[in-house]
Amino acid sequence: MTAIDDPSVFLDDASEAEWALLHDQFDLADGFWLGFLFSDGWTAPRVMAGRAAGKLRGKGHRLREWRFDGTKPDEVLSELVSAAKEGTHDCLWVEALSREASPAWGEFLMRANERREVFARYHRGGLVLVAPRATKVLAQERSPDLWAFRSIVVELVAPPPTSTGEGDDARPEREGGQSPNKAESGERFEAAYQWTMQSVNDSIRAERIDAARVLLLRLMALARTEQTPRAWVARAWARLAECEQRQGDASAAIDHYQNALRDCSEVDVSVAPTWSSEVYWAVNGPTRSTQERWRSQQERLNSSDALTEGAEFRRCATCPSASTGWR
Amino acid sequence: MTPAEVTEFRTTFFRRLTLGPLEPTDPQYVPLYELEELRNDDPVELLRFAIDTNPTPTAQLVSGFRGTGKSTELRRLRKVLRDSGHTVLLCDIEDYLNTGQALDPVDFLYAFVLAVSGAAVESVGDDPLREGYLTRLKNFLTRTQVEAPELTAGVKATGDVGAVKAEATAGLKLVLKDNPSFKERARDRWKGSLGSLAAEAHAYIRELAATLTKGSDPKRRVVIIIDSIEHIQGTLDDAAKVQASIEKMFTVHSDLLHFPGVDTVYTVHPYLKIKYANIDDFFPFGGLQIIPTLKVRERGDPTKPGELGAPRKNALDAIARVVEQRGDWWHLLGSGDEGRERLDTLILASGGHLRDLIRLLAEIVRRTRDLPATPAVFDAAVNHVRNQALPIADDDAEWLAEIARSHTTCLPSENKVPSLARFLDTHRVLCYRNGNEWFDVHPLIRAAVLEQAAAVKARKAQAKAT
Repeated sequence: MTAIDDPSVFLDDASEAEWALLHDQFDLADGFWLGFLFSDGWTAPRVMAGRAAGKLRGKGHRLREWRFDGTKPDEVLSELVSAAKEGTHDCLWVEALSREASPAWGEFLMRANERREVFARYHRGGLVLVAPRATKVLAQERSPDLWAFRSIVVELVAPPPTSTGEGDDARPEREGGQSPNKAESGERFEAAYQWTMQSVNDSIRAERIDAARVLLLRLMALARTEQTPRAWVARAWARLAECEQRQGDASAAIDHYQNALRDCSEVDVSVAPTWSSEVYWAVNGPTRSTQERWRSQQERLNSSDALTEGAEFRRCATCPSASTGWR
Repeated sequence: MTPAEVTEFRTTFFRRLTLGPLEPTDPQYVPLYELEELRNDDPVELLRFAIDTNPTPTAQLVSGFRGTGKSTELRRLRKVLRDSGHTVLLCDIEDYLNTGQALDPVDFLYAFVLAVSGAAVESVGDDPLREGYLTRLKNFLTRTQVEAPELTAGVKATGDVGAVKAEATAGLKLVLKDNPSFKERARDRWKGSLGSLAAEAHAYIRELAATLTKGSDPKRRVVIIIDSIEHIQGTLDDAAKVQASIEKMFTVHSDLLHFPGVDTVYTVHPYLKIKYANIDDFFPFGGLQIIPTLKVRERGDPTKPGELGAPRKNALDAIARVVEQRGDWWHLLGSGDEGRERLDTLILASGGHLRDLIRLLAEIVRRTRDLPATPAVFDAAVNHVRNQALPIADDDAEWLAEIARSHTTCLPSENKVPSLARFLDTHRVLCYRNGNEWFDVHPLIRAAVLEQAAAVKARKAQAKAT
């Protein structure tokens, strides 16, 4: 099981709101912070792990993940303590979401409570414990000191099942997350596009970037069809990337700019590489990984025949490159 | 404010809403006990007075609830005593003992010796090797016939003084914590002769104290503060056993805790006072001082459980100063009377529990995109923090409702002490002082508790009727 990097996987509204809080925690916190993420399904935590990893990449840090299967909490804690002592700004993400994990969480939390000073003293980033919701009481009672130092608690409430007759094993995969490919078919994207983009433009003009980002995330979660104009999709991706860029979430911005390029052959490639690399480096500094990533993207762009076709973006008065000063 | 200014304020204020203890010299520290109404109950002053006025060394207890400023006040005690010329060693016993296990007197004596030695090594300005602290400790362990290979690293360490100190103290912390065989050997060696080990430990500490005060005014004392004993707790399964071991330590074995030649202050869990009303008898010349939660409301009338006591303006003003030291809160909550009213609402919702108040403020900062925060954001943040303390089990709700009504612990039996300790640890119950201590359910969950308890009562009545 790995973090879900696929940006086409979106969360339901409630989970999206919780992600917004966790997202801001990464921006606001300075030094060690402790988060609890309680969830009964695994999809939303995986999506959040993927997004968190992207966000941290943009800052030059990492998301380091541990999972225990209910039998080895001691080993995980030992590794975690060693990682904390490295004194990095990475986010240490410990996840065990199976029902069988509860007894192990009890043991883990009690031991982690004893070692909390190690985290507070050495670690400079986040420590996020991802557990079933039933573990919340356990966290308070087995690790009262750790609980007392929590900076953020994210609770993902699973929506009620939409159909009956499925086993328990199938249910968690749907909870908290939805893929447009699996979502209800139809033309919901087309129906929502015009007014959403208008609202997004209004929000961006009013400097309400976060609101614009949420609107775009919701839009991109809607079902699309073969007939959905790809330029619309690309424009929405690019607008989302712009919001992320302005919020300092450069890694997510790059991913979504790439999606924009992928989804629309009309993009003006002679412009695109310049704006994004400059902004990206201005925000994050020219780290080796970002340089390499950018170089690789440029090579892909330059070798793509599709990028020389069409000109809708160049013609469009409200196209991203025209309206945001990417040049 | 421009969006950039909003972001700047959110980031700066959020980062100042830290949860850890403060030094009294920290600009964010507010001397709450200078308030007229709190001055007579200042635990630091009471502890200092006992030390300064007793001709013989004292042993005292101090207790506080998580997040009410206990560790901060201990740091103030250290400063006050040092300013008076005393030598103060502040030791965190948690660095030396596993806090998830029952407290064995043999373990505790060794942990005490190791912790004090570690603090001495850290506090002296000179090379600890030259001062011979570690050699003496090694001799103590040899004398008490328990070897500790972990110490070798420290004794052999070379390099600059800082490196030697760091290596030596790291070694000391490993002796008991990560070495089950040491504990086994020690317990085996001193089985049935605890008094002899205590005599050795007392002699060692007295000698160490004499070294630390060599050549100074004889009125200057050595004060050892042992922090975090209240963190020793078992799991849900063995909580009663662990608590019994602590009670035994501070009652039956209390003589072990009176070290000759040094004044000692131990932090203990508040339930010790609740269960042993006469605990002061075991620690004369000081007894147990409780750091209460700052009282933001008067005690409600027990005959009117639905009514809250009146807000206390002085306390609200004092806590507002605490918040002000963290940042310009009026940007977040609004200026003028309206903003102050919102701040008071938060203070009252926190029940005077400072850490909870900081958490509420941080939650608003995290959620808001506008300044001041909208009522919707304000309410969402308060609800979010409230939900963190929920759900509550039905039987807990019934007990908590009784506490809310009577303002006493309503402890039904001694075997329920672990449950009461759990309430106190998780702030579901807060302790205040009006001369005597009194208790109340945390304001954030009070309504939910009363509602749930009423529902349980109704269900029970219905079941009985059918």
